[in-house]
Formats: sequence, C-alpha cells, structure tokens
Amino acid sequence: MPDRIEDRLKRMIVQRLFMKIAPEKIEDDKSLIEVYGVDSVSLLELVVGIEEEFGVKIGDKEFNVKNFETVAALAAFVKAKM
Amino acid sequence: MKSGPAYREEQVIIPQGADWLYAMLHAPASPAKNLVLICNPLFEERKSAHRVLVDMARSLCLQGSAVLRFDYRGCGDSSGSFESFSVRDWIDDIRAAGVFLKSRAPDRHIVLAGLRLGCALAMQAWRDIGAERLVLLEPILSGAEYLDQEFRKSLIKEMMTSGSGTRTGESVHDDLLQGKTVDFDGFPVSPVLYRDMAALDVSRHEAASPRKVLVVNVTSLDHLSPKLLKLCSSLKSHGSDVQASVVSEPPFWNLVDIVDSSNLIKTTTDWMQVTDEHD
Repeated sequence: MPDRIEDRLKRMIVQRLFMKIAPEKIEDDKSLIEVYGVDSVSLLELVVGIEEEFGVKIGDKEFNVKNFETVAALAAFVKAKM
Repeated sequence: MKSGPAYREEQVIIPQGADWLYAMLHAPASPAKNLVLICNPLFEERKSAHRVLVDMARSLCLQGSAVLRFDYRGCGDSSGSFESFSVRDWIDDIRAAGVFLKSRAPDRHIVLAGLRLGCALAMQAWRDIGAERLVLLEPILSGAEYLDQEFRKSLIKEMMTSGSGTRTGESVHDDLLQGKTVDFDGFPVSPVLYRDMAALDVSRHEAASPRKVLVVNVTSLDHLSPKLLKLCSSLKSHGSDVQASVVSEPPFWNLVDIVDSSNLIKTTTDWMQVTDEHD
C-alpha cells in the first residue's frame, strides 16, 4: 500500500529537523509550531525538504501560515501542487 | 592576549585600505605545522556559526595549526558598514588576511577553510593566496540560489509574525533594478551586492584547483547531495585529491541554540592530520 503523504511528511519532518520523536507520534491535526516547536529556521528546512521529496516548487505567494500549520494542512497543500 | 595550555590567542587588526579587519589568531605553543585561514559565512549565519568556528579553530590549533579567524569589512567586529561593501571587497579581505597570516610563518603553507558562502569566496581567492589545501564546509555553490534562500527566510519570518509573506521575489528584483537597497533578514543588500552575489557560481570555477580539498556536507541525510557530488567530480577532473564527507548534524549556521558540532570538527581535524602526514 503506498505511503500516505502525511506519513512521508512526518518522516521528513523528524529527519530534517533532527526531532527526537518517532514520526508516527506526530499527530496530523496538531500545530507544528505550537506543539512540535517548529520555528522559522525549521520551516526553511521543511520547505527545502518538501520541494526535494515531492518535486514541487513553493512560490513566494504560498508562504501562508495556514499551509504549514499542521501535517494535515501541509499534506493538503502538497497534494494540490502535485 | 590569553594563554591556554598549548596555544595562545591574539587579537589582531589588519589594515585594509581606509578600513581594517578584526581578526583572532590562534597560535600553537610550538612552531605551526601549517596556517589555516577561516572564511566566515555571511548575514545571520556568521553569528550563529561563531562558536562552532571558534571551537574548530582551537581544535586545529591544538593539532599544530596556526589559525586565523577574521571578519570581512562591514561585518562582525571589522570596520565599515555592511552596505558599503560587496563580494569583490570580501575576496580582497581574504587576500589581506592571507598575507598577514603568511607573514607569521612564511615557510608554512596556507589552508583555506570556508563555511557556507565563505566557501564560494575562498574558491575565488585560493590561488592568489597560494593555498594548497581547501576545506569546504557545507559550501554554497550558487550565489543566486543562496540569495533566494535568504529571501525565503525573510518570507518565512514575515509569515510567522503576520500570517503570510508580503513581498515577492519579483518585487525585490524591481526594487533592486530601481537602485534601491533591500532588506534581507535585517541586512541591507545593495543592487551591487545583489548582482555580485548572484554572479557567484562555484561550478564555473577556473580550471586549476588546489592540490587537496575536503568537501563536507552537513545534512540530515546519509548521502552527499547531487550538487556536491558534481562539485567533487569537477574538482577531481581538475587534478585535486578530494575527500567528500557527510556529517549528520543540524544546520548550526541557522540556529541560535548551542549545537554539538564535534563530528564536523573531528572530520576536519582528521583530514588535516592525514593530509599533513602525506605532505
């Protein structure tokens, strides 16, 4: 069964941000910023990771916090671009 | 001047035209085996990387190298304001720092060690300095891509504070074309600096390369990035003996936390030792 985009994102988040948490422990709808401590520096790593992992390009006008709020939001954003 | 058990540290002022460069010389107690000139990263990266580079310098010094860290004009503790200088000035600063360092031990050869954009600057200056070895730590290969990344950092910060970014790359370019200085993460980037930085392209380096090069990819991944693989291949094709290493550590040049960069430092000091032995 192909990986959910949400699961790929979680693995990427943990790896790229050197987080000490198992990917499956990250909940789809919890705030990446407020619950998981993702800050502006981490977000840049995340943006690069998303572009490399999913082969998409994030445009300047797409830097809106609603796209990066949660794993679910991020997944919806990535799916729309793929 | 501060003395440690096996080295001393000396603040140095290097005259540079109407300005001066602030530098710190880490000198071993016994005659230096070689001379290492560290080329800093730029913008906020310089601040975040400071402690790691100090630790790197001290580790190299304990191994017998005399190490010079310095700030480019308009940066850190050197004189001048940032917006007055550009890439070619900073390459000149590397040359001036190299001349100073060489004057301390004329019979020793120089190793240039760059971090991030410092690598791109080092690659422009190594030949003039006569550097025989080059250390490239997480090298920036394209000035244009780096500027794009710095711009994105600004967008992300805007997004975190006000919900979304307000500028676009296009609006920044328009401002620059109109001769305006733009803000990149608190640093004023003039049209001249933007143009010069965007023109930096390590893949277009000249035919000759230093004899020995260490390329280190600091990454969460377990393999060298395709871009760095290509750089290594290019350096080898020009006759360099290249060692490529992957170090799994967070990007300390972007972080305010204290980061354990012992693996990066060990990778660098080990390579220096091995290449010393084979010289």
